[in-house]
Amino acid sequence: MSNTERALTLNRLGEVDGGHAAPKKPRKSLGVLGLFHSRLFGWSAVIALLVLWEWIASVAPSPGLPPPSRIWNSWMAEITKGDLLAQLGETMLAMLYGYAVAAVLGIALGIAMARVKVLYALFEPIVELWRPIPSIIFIPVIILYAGLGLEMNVIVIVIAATESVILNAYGGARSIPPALLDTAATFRLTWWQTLREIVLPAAAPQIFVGLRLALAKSLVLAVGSGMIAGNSGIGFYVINAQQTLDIAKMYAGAATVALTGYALNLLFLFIESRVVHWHAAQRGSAIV
Amino acid sequence: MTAHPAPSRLSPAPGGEIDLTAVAVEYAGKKGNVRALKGVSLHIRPNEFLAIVGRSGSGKSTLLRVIGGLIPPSEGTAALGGEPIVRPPSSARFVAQDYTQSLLPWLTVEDNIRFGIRHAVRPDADPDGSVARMLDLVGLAHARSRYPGELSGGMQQRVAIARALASQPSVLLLDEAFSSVDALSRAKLQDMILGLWETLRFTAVLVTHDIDEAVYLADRVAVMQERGAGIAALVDVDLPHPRHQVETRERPDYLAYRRELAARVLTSDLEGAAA
Repeated sequence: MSNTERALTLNRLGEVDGGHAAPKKPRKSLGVLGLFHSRLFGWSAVIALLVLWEWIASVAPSPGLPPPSRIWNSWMAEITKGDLLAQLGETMLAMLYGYAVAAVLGIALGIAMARVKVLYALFEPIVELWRPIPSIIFIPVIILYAGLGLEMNVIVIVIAATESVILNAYGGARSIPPALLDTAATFRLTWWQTLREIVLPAAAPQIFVGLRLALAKSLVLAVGSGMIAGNSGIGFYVINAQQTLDIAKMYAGAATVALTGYALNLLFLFIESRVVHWHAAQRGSAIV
Repeated sequence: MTAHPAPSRLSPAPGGEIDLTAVAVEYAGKKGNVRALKGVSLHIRPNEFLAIVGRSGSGKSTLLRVIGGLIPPSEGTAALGGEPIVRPPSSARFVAQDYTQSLLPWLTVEDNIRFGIRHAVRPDADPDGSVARMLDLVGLAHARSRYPGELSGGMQQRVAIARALASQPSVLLLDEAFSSVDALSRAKLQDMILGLWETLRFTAVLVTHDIDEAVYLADRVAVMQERGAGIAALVDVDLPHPRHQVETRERPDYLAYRRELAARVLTSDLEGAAA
């Protein structure tokens, strides 16, 4: 294995693990201790923080830290009367396009690199050079060529998100158990059949690791590109609120981004558990 | 649990005859080339049950992979039914020791068997009927919609064997296929494979390090010399069928075969050095 190949392989996050399902731990009986071990405990901490925030904002008012109740009111007003949802829609549209392109391109390139040596040799240095560059650095260049429209945001997302999908698709397709490839050989599968019936499903759990990283990057860049370029979207909305000193509105926008990210992640985990169900069962519950 | 069902629609392709002539295999190793096989010749008769025994490093698994078309011979020729083996032959199926990795974990038991039918030697006119029949033959009808990850090792290996036989091969290659399961599952698998062999008729070639298993299952046992030097001995095992886990293993002739083969395997290094 060459050093560069090792770098690629080592960088994949998550392993395709074969073998037996881990024995399930017996469920603990729910006592007082059970409550402290449950998710409910963590959520009550979130609520406690909000209460603490409300209290601090009332005893020591500061323009930079409005109480959550005022942010809530501003949020409701912005959702019903303001253009918060419209701006969020812009961001989501850019993210949808960018993420879809990154996913398809990343899976295709990653698997092609794993299965065709020439393509690995051709693309590996490019991917390695591209990987450590923070994607926001491309924004000024892209604005030069694509202007300030939706295309700019989409291109930035594609640049940022494709790389994690490539690396994980490559890693997944490279780490297929030899016995599984023997199966493909002894049943005389053609190159395409091997790809479709063996390589793609076997690599799927790790492809999903890449898709999840790409999802997070897509959101960051969808919001961030609007913020930096100031063209449109929820990022622009937040920075605009800050610059016009409508601080409650700024927090409302930030909270919207946080909730959107949380919801997207939940949706992703749901889809992942459906598509790679055999793997999810082995891995136990997913860690967010 | 020996299976004795009615004659089968799933009949093997004809011509399960294997000829190996001076087969040599060379790997590119870290310290130059490694010769895993140094000129092995062996004739395997159609529909016989042949076991290949030998110590670790005798090249018995390499030999089986050559027959399965998974490794090309560097020298000599391997032929199945008169056709030279240059890639996996259409009428042979290879069953690996590593059942957890050779099954398709994303497919149910039933769909794994369907995979065998989809990639069969000849098209199957009634795939649904064949799936049901294979499930019955390996005793997994109750587990048809479960996933490999939910099954015990013995059950997974039964799926792997059912999947291989569902594609109607004339040659079944078993590479230490019963070595990774517990003793009881192993006895059951042995009886199951004998039942399938008696019912479906195919050439079975089993590689094993277990002399008991070789004598119990096979009609002929080949002993490999050390370091792939060749076949040290071929022993005909003339024990009656059907075989029985307790009674067959108590027969004086069973014990005599066992003793002879053990002696052959133990001296195979000396003969290998002499050759």
